Amino acid sequence: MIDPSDAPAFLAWLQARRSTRVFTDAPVPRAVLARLIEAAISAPSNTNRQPWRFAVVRAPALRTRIAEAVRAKADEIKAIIARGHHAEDYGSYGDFFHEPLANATAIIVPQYRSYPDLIANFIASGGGDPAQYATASAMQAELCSTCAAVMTLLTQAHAEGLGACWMAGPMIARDEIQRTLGIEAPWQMVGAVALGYPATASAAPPRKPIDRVATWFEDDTHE
Amino acid sequence: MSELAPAASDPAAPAATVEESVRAIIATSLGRPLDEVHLDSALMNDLGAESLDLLDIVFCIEREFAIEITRGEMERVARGDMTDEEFAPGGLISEAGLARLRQLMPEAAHRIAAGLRAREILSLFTVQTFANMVHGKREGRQV
Repeated sequence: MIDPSDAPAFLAWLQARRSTRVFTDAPVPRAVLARLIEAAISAPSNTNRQPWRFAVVRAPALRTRIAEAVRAKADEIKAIIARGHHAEDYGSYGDFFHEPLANATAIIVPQYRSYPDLIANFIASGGGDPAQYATASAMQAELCSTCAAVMTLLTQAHAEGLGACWMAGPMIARDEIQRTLGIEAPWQMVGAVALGYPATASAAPPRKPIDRVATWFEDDTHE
Repeated sequence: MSELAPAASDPAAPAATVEESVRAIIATSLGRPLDEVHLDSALMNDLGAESLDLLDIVFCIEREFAIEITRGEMERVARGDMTDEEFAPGGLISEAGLARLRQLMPEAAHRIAAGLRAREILSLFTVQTFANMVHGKREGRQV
């Protein structure tokens, strides 16, 4: 248990988490990865659906296959963009899609599935029109829950001294990765997390200040 | 698109429409109320844009006005045809470079001062800078 008086220190620890893209060769023990999954499944979910699964890939050949699938798609996209006038803007973006996967010593592919919208069905059962109400599906609640699980996983990775990078880039090879890992409907991958022990310290990227992201309502004068 | 910009893709649209359309695009891209986005607003310093936001805005402007804006053109807006060495030796913009900037970006002249570095040029871009690029493109000028 963290004492509330330690909360500022905990915040500083949270703020020290980085997206790590370069890793040493040291393998991540299975027990450590299991703790990451334990952390992930402690996350909140809508109506406690726990709409998540995780493919935990330690096998070297399989990791290489995933990274290569992403690299091949990244090259394909790069060739398309090179024909246009934004090739310079695109630069080496595509390299970021596969390089962290290529040198990671573990890859976790989070997945989520949607469920029937329970409250919408309740409304319909009473003769109401669910379309008149914003219910869980209006916020893709199962996807949001799975993202919360991934954030918890990343936090545990930070505590374990691991580096991690949760990437959307691997989605370009979604079909190949899902086929490789046996991910079938209704499950869908939610990016991929490259993991390993950090080879280098990453610089802190700038964050938007809180006055740009938080709107405060502290009295009722706005009403 | 905002109702302020109904005819922006029409090459014969009046100049005011370009400015208003660009304002609307930038307001939408940055999630800002239109009345906070002025022609002299600097996108990064005043409106909090990040470099990726500028790319989003470029893509929107390209689609809205059916034009193409390359990175090289964005750099030329600021530095003209000066070489790297003339413009910013060692990354610090030279006196000649500052003079060229003031000439090419009069809308940002009050922000152009000694000590400015080449990598900070994008921070000079105002709403008017983007509107000027659209005008230049539509008039067939190299921007």
